[in-house]
Order: sequence, then structure tokens, then C-alpha cells
Amino acid sequence: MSTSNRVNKIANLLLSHSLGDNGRVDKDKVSNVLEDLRKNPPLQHIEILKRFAFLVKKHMSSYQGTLEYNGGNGAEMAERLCSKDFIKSNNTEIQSQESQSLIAGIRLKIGDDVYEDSLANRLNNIRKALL
Amino acid sequence: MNSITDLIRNEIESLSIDASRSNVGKVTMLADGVARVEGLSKVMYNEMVEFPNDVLGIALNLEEDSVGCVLLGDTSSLKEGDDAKTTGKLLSVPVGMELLGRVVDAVGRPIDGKGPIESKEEYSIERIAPGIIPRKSVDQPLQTGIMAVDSMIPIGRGQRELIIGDRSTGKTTIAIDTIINQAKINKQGEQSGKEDFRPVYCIYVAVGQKNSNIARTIKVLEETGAMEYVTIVSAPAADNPANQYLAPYGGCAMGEWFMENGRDALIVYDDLSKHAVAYRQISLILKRPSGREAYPGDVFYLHSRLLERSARLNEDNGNGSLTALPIIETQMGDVSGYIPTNVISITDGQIFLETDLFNKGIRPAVSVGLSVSRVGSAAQIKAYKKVAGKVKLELAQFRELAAFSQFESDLDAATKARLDRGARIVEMFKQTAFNPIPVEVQTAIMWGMQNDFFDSIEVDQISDAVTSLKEYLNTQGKEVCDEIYQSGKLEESTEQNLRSALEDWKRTFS
Repeated sequence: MSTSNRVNKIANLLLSHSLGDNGRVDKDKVSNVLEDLRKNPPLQHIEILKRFAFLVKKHMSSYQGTLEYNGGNGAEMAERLCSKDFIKSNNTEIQSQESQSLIAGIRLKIGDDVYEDSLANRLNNIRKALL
Repeated sequence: MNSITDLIRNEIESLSIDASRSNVGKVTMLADGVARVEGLSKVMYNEMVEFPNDVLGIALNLEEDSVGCVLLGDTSSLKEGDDAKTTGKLLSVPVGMELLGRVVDAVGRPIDGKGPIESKEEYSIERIAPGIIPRKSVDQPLQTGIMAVDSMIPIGRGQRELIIGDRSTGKTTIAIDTIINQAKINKQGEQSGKEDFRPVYCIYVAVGQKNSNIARTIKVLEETGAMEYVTIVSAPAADNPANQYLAPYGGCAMGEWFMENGRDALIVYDDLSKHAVAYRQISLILKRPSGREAYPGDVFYLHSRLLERSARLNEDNGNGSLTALPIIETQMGDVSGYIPTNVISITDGQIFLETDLFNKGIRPAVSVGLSVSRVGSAAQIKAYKKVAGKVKLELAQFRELAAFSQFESDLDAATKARLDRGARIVEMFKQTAFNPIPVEVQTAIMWGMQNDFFDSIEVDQISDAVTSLKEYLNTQGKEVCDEIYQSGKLEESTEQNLRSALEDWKRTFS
């Protein structure tokens, strides 16, 4: 097994031990995992921890969303948007913030996925169509 | 009043949100036209990825936590940390008749200053090659206008014939001659008003070539009036490796449109050695494992999936065809290199050009021994097959005997006759560049050779004699040539007419 494969495999294992019953990263479990690692440090300890941190962050971003809005009530919009069929993340925690760059409308980011209905996006689409 | 506005507001709120969905990532590394992007977890293989400032990329390496994208266009405005966004589209190029007479880049954008291309359709550049069922055997000739090729290594519509040789041996010239000949045949066919006439449209893909060479090719095609049937896809040496890698696929998609719409097309890939080098560059930057000569493991598939897209379709599928003439440059005549052997094994034959022959003035410098056409002879017209049937064997025997005769002072009559005939055939096959000969004229010249009309002429005068005969056949002997063109056969009466025409010419030439 190559070095990177070994690091990946161990980091994935650590992540699976860090998840709670609801499939989310559990702070206490992460502390336990880190404690165990401190007691029995594996080979390539730092690389494994870096990879573990990356995987935890990636996993957390899958159920933590950011809603940017301009005009209207952000929280209300988030609630309405989450009720739509095309967003399958009912358990997503959404933080909303105002963003002038949208001109008007909303942009919701959950993990790598971006749902956008903003004037800035529409203007950009028109610009591209005209090019 | 409030109740009315509430009513309207409720109505607006009940409407669905028209949100666009995309998958995004962040650029973590940029090098030599390749970007590594973190995120993009839902990107598809070969999907177009959008970067800031309208730069596009293609996702080629899908890894666990990052994506390798090759970038198209000017990448100088990009930096680490930039957003990258999926588009949900595969890379496509415009296709159709509107592309004829145009010069485009690897992704079909016009670069000839003749305005936008009003194409109605687009084809994805990566397409699955036709399967077994829609194909049929090659049965229609594609004449190159080069006597040495049409007689000994005939090409059929839908065939893949490799042109291989060292640098400066006339590989591109053979391809350009073929394109010019198609234009001549197209014009002749359109004028004749034959109902079953099928023009051949051409696509010339220039990969990794000097801009000056491409400009020269365009000039030749314009001067010979061939440009109206040709599309040039240009990815010169100055272009980034991604464009050089994509250009043959883009050109192939343009050719496929003709094939799938019941038309015939010819595509020239000039050249696939440079294409493999461009792909090697991309693969090494993407950190793909390298194999022999540092090429990636899938370099065979790179060319096989491209050349398999050339085919002859059967009547149920429109009867169209796409003929491919890939070009490979060898080093010091070594055909056993990695890329040459790969492409030789994929194609249906090869035209091998030798530096020694070229330097001796035998042009086109076709090596009879190493050149072969595996399927083309089935497509030769009957008249031509009748006169050219034995010529390859005669020439091969001549080359062998010529090598041995250097050590022998006394030669028997039969050997001497073979050597004399061979020397005359070699001279007959000499042909200037960009001057293809129509098949009926070729037939008449070959018939003359087979029937001893050139035997009394000195070997060093054969070229002049062939030129004189061509002129005669284009003027006084036009009738007999038309007869061959119309029937495609050498009937007894045609042969009699041909004999009297050649006797007449022989008197004037003497």
C-alpha cells in the first residue's frame, strides 16, 4: 500500500469513529479520537491529522450551508428554499448573511453545491449569451 | 388595500424559485495550462468547467478530493483561490456545411477574420465510434490524384490510411494533394450533373505545426480553388497543449456530421506524433503515471478512439463515410517507435515515405515494400484495377533486382527487361507537388506503360513523355478519357480508342 493510500485509509477510519448517530461530526468523539492518537501516535502522525482535518471539514460542509441574500428576509428565504424538492438537505444548518454583490436575490451554498437565483447571476448569463 | 397587496404578495411567494444549480470548487494549483481544483465533487469526466474571466477548462482527472482540469484559452488572468464552476455541458464544436471554407481553432471558433460561423448544430467532441451493425465494407474509391498511391496503395472511402515518414519527406504534400484532388473531382462531378455523384468534403487538422506552414497550406488550398470544400482546424505549436490535444477530436466531430448526414468526408490529422506529445505534456502535469517514453498508459486509446470514428456506414444509416489520413513523423526512418507502431496497428494500411528516395529525386518518395493498403483495392475502379494490378509486384521485383544487379555484370534478358520496365515505372510515378492527376488520365498513362508505349523512350525522358501524354489526353485525347470516366471500365472498344490515341501521341512525341 502506498504512503498516501495508508494515510487516506487511516484518516477515513478516524472520521468514521468521529461521527455521531445522526451522521454528523460529534465534538466529544473527535476529542476521544485525538486523545487515542496522542497516546498511540501512528507513523506519519502529522500527515494523518492533516488529512483527518480535511475530511472532517469536508464532511461538515455537507450539512452546513451559507445563504447570501440581498433584499428581502434571508432566514425566511432560506426556509422557503429548503422546502423545495431540489434541495435534499432537510437537516442542513443554514447561516444567512447579506451580500451586496448579488444586487438582488439569493445564493445558497451547501458543500460544493451552489443554488443561485440572483440578479447578478442572471446578468452574467445574459452577458455570456451575447458574447 | 392591504388585503389586496397581501393577496398579490402571497401569489408571488407561492411561485417556485427559479434557482440555478451548480457545483463549485477552488483552484489550488495552476501550471502550464492545467489547474487542480478542490471541490467540484459532482463534476463529470470531460465536462466543461467555468473559471473567472470566461476561461473554460475540461475535467480530465477526477480524484478523491481534487479535479485536474486542462485550461483552454488565455490562462494568465487566473490565480490560486479562484472559483471554478461546473457547466453541465460536454465540450462541443459547431458542425455543418457552414464550416466549409473556414479556418477554426480547436473548439470551432473562427480565426480567419471572416465573421461568426452561423452553424445550427453542435456535436460533442468526444463521441462513441459507430459499432459493427451500422458499418459496411469499403467499396468506393477515394482517389488521391497521386499515381504511385492510387495504383499501388489505393484508398477507399471510410478507410484509415496512415502517412508515415521522416521529416521533410512529403507527408503533408500527399495529404494536400488528396484534398486538392477531391475539390477537382467535386467540381467535375457537380458539372457533370450525375445524380449519384457524392462530393467529398475535407477537414484538415493541423496539430503542433508552425503558423507559417499552416498559412502556406491555406494559401495553396485557396490558389487551387479547393478551400470551398475544406475546413481547417488549427492548433499550432504556439497554442497550449490542451488545444493541441483537443483539435483532432473537434475536427473528427465536424467530419462525423457529414458522415451521419449521408455525405462523404475526408479528414487529415497532421500530425498525430505531435498530438501524442501534447497529450504526454498534459498527462505529466496532471501527474498521471507515465509509461514507455514517458507517455501515459492510455496513449493507444488516445488514437484508437479517434481513428475508430472513421467509418463507412451502410445504406440503412445514410451511406455516409469518413476517411482518415493520419500523419506520423518518424525519427531516422524508425517505424518501430512507440507511437508509429500504435497507429500502424490501428489503421488499415500505411504509405511509407523514405528519405533516401526523396533525396534521389523520386517524389512522392513512396516505399513500395513498406507501404500497404489493406482494404482499398476492393474500392478501385475496374479500369484502373485492370492496368495497375501488376505494377506493385513489378516495382517490388525491380527494387530487389536493382540491388543485386549492382554486383552482376552479365544479366539475362528477362532480368534486364524487368529492370528496364521498373526504371520506367519509377520515372512514370514521379509527380510534382499540388498537381494531382485525374483517375482517367492515370488509367490511360498506366495502360500505355503496360502496353509497351514507353519502352522505346529513354528512361531519363520518361517524365517528359508522361507530361506530354497528360497534355495530349487533356486536349486531343479527352474523348477517350471521358469514356473511361463515364464507364469506369476498359471495354474492348475503349482499349482500341486508347491504342489509336496513344499511337497518335507517340508520333507527335517522337
